[in-house]
Amino acid sequence: MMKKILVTEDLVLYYRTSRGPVRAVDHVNLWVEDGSSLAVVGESGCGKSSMAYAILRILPRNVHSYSGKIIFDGVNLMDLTDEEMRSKIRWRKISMVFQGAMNTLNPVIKVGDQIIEPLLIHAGYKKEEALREAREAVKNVGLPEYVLDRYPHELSGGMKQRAVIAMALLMKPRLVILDEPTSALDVLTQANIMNLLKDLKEKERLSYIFITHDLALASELADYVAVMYAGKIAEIGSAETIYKNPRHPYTQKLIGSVPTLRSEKVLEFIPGAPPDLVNPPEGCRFHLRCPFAKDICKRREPPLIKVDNDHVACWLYGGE
Amino acid sequence: MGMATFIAKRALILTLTLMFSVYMTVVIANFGGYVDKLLRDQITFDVTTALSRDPNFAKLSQEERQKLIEQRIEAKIRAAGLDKPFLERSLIQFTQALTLNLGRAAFLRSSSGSKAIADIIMERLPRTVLLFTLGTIMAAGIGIFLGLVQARKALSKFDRIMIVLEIFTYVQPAWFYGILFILIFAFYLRIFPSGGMVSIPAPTEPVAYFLDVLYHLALPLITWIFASFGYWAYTTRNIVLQTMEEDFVTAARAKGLPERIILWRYVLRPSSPPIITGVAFAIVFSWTGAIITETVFNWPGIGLLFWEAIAALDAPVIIGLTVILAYLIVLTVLALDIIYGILDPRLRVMR
Amino acid sequence: MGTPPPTGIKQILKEALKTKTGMAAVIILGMMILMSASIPFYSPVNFVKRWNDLKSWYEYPSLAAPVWVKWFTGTNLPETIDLTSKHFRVTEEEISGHYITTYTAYFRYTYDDYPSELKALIKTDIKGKPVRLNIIFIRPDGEEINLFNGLVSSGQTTFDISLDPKLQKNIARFVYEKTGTVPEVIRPEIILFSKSPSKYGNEAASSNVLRGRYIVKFQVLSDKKISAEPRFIVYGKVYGFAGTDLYRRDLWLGILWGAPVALAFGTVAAIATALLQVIIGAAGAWFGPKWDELVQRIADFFLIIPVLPILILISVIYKVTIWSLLGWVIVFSVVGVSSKIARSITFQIREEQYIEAAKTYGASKTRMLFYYVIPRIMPFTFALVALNVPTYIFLEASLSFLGLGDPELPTWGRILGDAYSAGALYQGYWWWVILPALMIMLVSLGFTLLSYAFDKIVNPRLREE
Repeated sequence: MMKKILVTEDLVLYYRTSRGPVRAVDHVNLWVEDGSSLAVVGESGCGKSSMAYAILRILPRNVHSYSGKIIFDGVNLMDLTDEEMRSKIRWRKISMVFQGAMNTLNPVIKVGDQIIEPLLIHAGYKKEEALREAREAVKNVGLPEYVLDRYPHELSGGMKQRAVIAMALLMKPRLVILDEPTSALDVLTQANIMNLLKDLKEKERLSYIFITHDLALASELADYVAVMYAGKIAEIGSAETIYKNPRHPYTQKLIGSVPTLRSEKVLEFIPGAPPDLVNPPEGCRFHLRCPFAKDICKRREPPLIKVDNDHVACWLYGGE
Repeated sequence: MGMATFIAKRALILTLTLMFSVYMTVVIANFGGYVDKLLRDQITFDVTTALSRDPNFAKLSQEERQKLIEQRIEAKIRAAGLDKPFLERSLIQFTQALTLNLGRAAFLRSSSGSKAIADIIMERLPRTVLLFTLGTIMAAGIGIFLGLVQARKALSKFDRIMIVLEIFTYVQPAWFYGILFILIFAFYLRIFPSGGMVSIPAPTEPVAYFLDVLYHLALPLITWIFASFGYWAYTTRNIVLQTMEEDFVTAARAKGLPERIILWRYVLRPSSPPIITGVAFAIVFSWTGAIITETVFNWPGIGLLFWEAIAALDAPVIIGLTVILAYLIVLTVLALDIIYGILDPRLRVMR
Repeated sequence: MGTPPPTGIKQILKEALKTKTGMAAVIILGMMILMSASIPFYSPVNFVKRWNDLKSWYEYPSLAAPVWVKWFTGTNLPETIDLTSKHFRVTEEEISGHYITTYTAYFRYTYDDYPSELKALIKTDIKGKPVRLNIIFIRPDGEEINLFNGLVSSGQTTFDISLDPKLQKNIARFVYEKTGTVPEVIRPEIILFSKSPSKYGNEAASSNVLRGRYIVKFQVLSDKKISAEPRFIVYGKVYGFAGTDLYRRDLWLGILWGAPVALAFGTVAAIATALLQVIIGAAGAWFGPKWDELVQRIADFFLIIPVLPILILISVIYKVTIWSLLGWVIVFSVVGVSSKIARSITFQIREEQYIEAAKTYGASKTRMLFYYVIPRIMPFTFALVALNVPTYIFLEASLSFLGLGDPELPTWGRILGDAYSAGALYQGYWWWVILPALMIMLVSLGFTLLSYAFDKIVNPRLREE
């Protein structure tokens, strides 16, 4: 049994809004095995990005609740102070590649200067050495050295994304969280980036959390898949299981809605609308749209039930 | 497009704007026909009185006197160029104004008695600069600091109340506060003098003179700061807040950068272009808006000069002032565009 | 996160009313509108003409403070006592062909301070030679002073007792008899009403005011029977809600009239300029890069023009009315902040799908601009429009303050300007300055709050809490 680099227990992150608390991350349990990649998939607004922020403790002003356990490499991150979180964990152990690299680079500072920042701050490098490392890093992601001297707006979308990836890997973290790293890119560049990520995973023995709404994309990189719905984990298991034999009705629908190029497939769609995270439905979050909803689904939330190598949060699989 | 093309393009447009503004001022200042009529009347009056004092004049016959008067008047009119058609004269004035050949005032004088407009303006410009530039910088400093505090405490009670306060104080012009403050602080509380730049008679010893000026500077300065700080605070707050919500700030946090660095490099640096350009703009514009404030406080700067020139319908002075102002504004705008281009590299491409 | 902002205009107004600030704004502005609407009940129709006709205000005191000042200072400041002809009792005597007609009136004076001014008037209708008139003033302590003894002819004659030195000889003698010296400055309104007139004639009030029953007699000596209308005015020091100005005008009426003018001017200017700016900004972005460039150049140009100095220039040379001023203001504000906002929103909208769709089914570009684009932009300008109303009110006030605005309308700026020119700031006639200023500030506050309420609704950042 492989070692788990990250385990979350009952992770909670609610936001305060004028309409009430938004339960973006609602008692989430998941794990990432060392050296593997976990894809977190779900519809927009189901709380995927919030989970990334929760792990790194990047919280906005209007936080309502933030609790649970985040055990990283044996240490509960929740026990650390903000300062320890900042100086020891962020970027050194866990780094992040954000959605839409267009905006994640500071527009008024040269790309190179931004890339070396963590080295200067966290590892006390001198500028010369840091730049040397940076040059290596951008070469590794397939970028020419001159990008270090450019401003972000002078680079193309794909180049920016690669630069951001290089920046994320610079301090050789154990875990990299990627939040929709390719959603704003064209298909060709997307493919290139995915290949790059696969490459790096092999070479550097990285662990990924890969967040996306695109199931097909996730399948390229994922060893494990966690399906999120309305702030909760619906199903989490190996990629094989999820794609070939999904158990949760939501997962089944998701897989069913992905078009395939070759086979004749009747595309399914999921009726209804995504749930309101302020007032989620009682019981199982999915029961209003679920074709198999039973009486108990309306009343009680199902726990994560282990079925073979899979974990499903669904009353269909017992656990009463 | 590089910096050079960018600057050249801006310079061209600004020059055209400058020329148009100056010509329009020339037209407005003269076109009413009032000024012409005034000058003609003045000439008629001068000639008649001068001649009536001349003892030889009385000896001439009625006809001869009439002829002499007309001759003299015509000569003077020609000398003053009043006989040329308006279009021609306006173009002459226009070219003169553009080249800063400001000429002489029709009626006003400087305190040293000079009629040269350059003298008149240069005598008074520093006083306006003293009051309004200092005031704008202080207001900006206080306001920007306040705006930053508000950005950190966004949406708190303090923030919300301050916003209303800032907008409210900003909407009302400085002269409005001026008259209220004079009533309260000069008349009732007697803390400050009610106007002017120096006491009458002014102290002769330099240190005492300096302090006297400061004493008179205090109330208009306070008034100006009170009327303007709101703008800085509110806009800074908004710009900083907007920047703080940008993705690259969140990314910077994720990188584990300390708050101090995030504040400076990721919040303030990107926010600074609009704020800085705003400050420089405000400084120059404060000079145009200062007319009424200077009038209320009797502050002898170019605002009051403008008012006096208008009251006396002294067209050359009006034109001269407007031209100087136009030049200053245009130069400042150009300088700012350059600074903005340096501070925000995105702009060099976007324009 | 959070709910999307409402987009319909009516929706926004309703939402605005729900907030505290919105409510406050509506209350304040509602009061203003009520003030404006109450004018037809309050003041005469030709008020504007009257405001400029200084002679028509002669029966009001000059520079009187508001009446309620009495309650704050505790002193019972005098109000004007106007003895018109109906207050006078007539007695006639005929002595050997001459008629002595005596008009007698009395009043009780119980105030704590002296009057501000005294005036006697008489209207007679005499044919032939002038008649002799005696005006006698009798104090409660029995002292009689003959204010006037001379000839009057037909018509209205006014005796400015407080101001005319010729009428003060007897008063001077009165003081001399009482104190042994002739005063340097004769202030009849004080001397006639004080217990012990010192030689300087300006003693402290309150303790020295002679309270009691005063009598005024107009005695006419004539050959024939005459009829006359005497009048005696003892001017007070307080009047009305807002006092009076130097020209004796009731400031409350002036302030009242200022409200609709200010509101109308400000609102029309703000809305008109916003509309124009939005149309121009959107049109530029909508019709293509060449138009956009043009609009941008125009915007740059207008940005640099100093509006106030030019308006001043225009007002001096070409006399302006409030309407022509409005016109000029709009002309100079065709491009501004709202056009920038309109432009950026239009760029966003251009890309949207349903616009592409509309183009394909043949909707004309202009029609789409006005039907789809501009209505979507308008809500974003509400906060600015609300804020611009007081800005324009102050623009008009600035010009009126300098004496350059509409020469007839009694606007708040004009009242302030009059006050300033009359030295109200340096002499402490605070009501002339503070009350109109308070009015303007109230309107500003109302619109500031309204703008804040709008901003909260339309601007997502302020909505989250």
